[in-house]
Amino acid sequence: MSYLNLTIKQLHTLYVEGKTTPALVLEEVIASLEQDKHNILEATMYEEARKAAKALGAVEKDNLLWGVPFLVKDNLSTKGIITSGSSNLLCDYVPLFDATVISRLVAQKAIPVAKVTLDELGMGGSGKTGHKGVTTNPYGKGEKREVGGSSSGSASGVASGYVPFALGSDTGDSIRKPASYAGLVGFKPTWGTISRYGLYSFTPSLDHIGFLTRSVFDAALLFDVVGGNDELDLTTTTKQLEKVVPNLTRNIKGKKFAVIKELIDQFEDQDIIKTFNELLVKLTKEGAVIETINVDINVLNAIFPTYFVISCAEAVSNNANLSGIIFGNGKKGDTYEDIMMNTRRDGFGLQVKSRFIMGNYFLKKENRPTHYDRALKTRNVIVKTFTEILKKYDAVLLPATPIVAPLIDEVRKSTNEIAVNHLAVSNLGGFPSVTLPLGFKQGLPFGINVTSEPYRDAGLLNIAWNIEQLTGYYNVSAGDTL
Amino acid sequence: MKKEQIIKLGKEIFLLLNEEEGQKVADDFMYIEEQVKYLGKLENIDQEEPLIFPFPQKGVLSEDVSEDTYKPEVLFSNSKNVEDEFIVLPKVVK
Repeated sequence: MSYLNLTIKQLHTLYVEGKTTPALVLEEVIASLEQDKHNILEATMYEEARKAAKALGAVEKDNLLWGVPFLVKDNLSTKGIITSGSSNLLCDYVPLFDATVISRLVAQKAIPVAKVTLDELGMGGSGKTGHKGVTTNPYGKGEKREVGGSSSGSASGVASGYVPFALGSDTGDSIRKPASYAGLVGFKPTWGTISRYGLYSFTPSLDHIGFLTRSVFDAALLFDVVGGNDELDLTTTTKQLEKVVPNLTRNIKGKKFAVIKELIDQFEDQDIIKTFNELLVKLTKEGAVIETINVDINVLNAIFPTYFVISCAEAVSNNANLSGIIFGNGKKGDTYEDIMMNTRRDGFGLQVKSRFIMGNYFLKKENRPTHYDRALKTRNVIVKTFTEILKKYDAVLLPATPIVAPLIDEVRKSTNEIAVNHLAVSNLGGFPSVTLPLGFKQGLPFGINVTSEPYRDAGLLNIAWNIEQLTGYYNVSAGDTL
Repeated sequence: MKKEQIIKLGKEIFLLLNEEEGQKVADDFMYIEEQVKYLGKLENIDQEEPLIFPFPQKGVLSEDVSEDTYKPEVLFSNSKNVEDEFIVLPKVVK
């Protein structure tokens, strides 16, 4: 019997029933990772994982994470294991500590098995800019489809069925977009509810840690375990977080949902819109109230440039320490300028260089008022607009992506930035947001996104759990790769 | 913006671009500048308050508490150039 393609809950049931053991499951996970065709691996932790599995002792019936293997995005620090951020500049850096999110999972006896790739330093949405090349989607024939990014390895690995879940990070949509392309649940909670201690900072005011799973229940379980205050991250909330799993109930009657007309109008794929509308009908039959609302198109047009200017500006500042002088894979040079130039020339890919250069431009004294300062003010307008909506509604519902996973080398005539980048609203406002499978087109998945008010993570996941019941897309994996 | 200006912007932050890379970034930059124009289209935008973090951040002052730290050999493990108990750095002050 194969123990891949199982959710956390399903795997736990098998452990409790004595039908398999973490050591057996682990060997199957390792064998599948070694045969991976989608270029997901950065570093392996096989021996450490084997030791952890061996040391587990008796099965813990009330601990669903006992012996569950998982993958870690390689911008999360792992003690004693290279953490490259998928950048040549950090390709030999070994952290001295674990990120808090990993410590908390390991404390529950979950087992990290491998570090998986990403767009370099989390800057990208394609899975094409990691230092080891393109990461592909297990859906679609061959290795020809984008899986999205930046949590490309996390999404590809979970969609391949290797493990029940992977850790990811999300600065603009880096969990929720690949979740749509790979038929997964991708959840980023309210900003500050999961400690970012040990996460390589890209844009601190927008960065979140979250999960890629194959069920909403698993996302809820993981949030219950890792969420909450951390004295090592002063941006974490001190609020007591409501537990999600005990409050998952099959009831959506009376819930009010908003659908934004001006956003829907931007989506080009009418098959996605049709499936989305069919779900709205099902929700209405369940007693939910759906209202189509209007949002100023100027506010929607401002989402992408606001995100882009702020993220580039913070990124160039935050990564100034990657100089090769005191940090990073330093290259030789006669002067400190030469060392930095040579280190950063060879260490960064073009996408990262491009964003740093633009960040430098946005922060210059003469450009700042019309770029960075104005983006911060626009952020306020966007967040106020969506906060008002979310006060009146339990959630905003939208298709997560305007298209299914594109071909790797597909050249698109134009990009509709509103449709492509609308998920960034949740990063600008710190709103909890989840993508889950909505349908398939020609064998390729696409997702629905659900977003709520800050700190209503439990309510949000309950809505998502109800939607999962309606779509029937539970524990979906590609299945054609193994 | 011309590629020469992009290459100059890169040098300011110790990023070297070749001609081809400079042109690619210049093309991307032109597209982004078109997008940035949307920031100015919101009414009275420059009278708005800036939003830096999603939620207000409180400064937290904590007591200084001594704690065990890593041993030197652990701290030096990522450095390629260690002598005795020192990491050797290139001279950066001229």
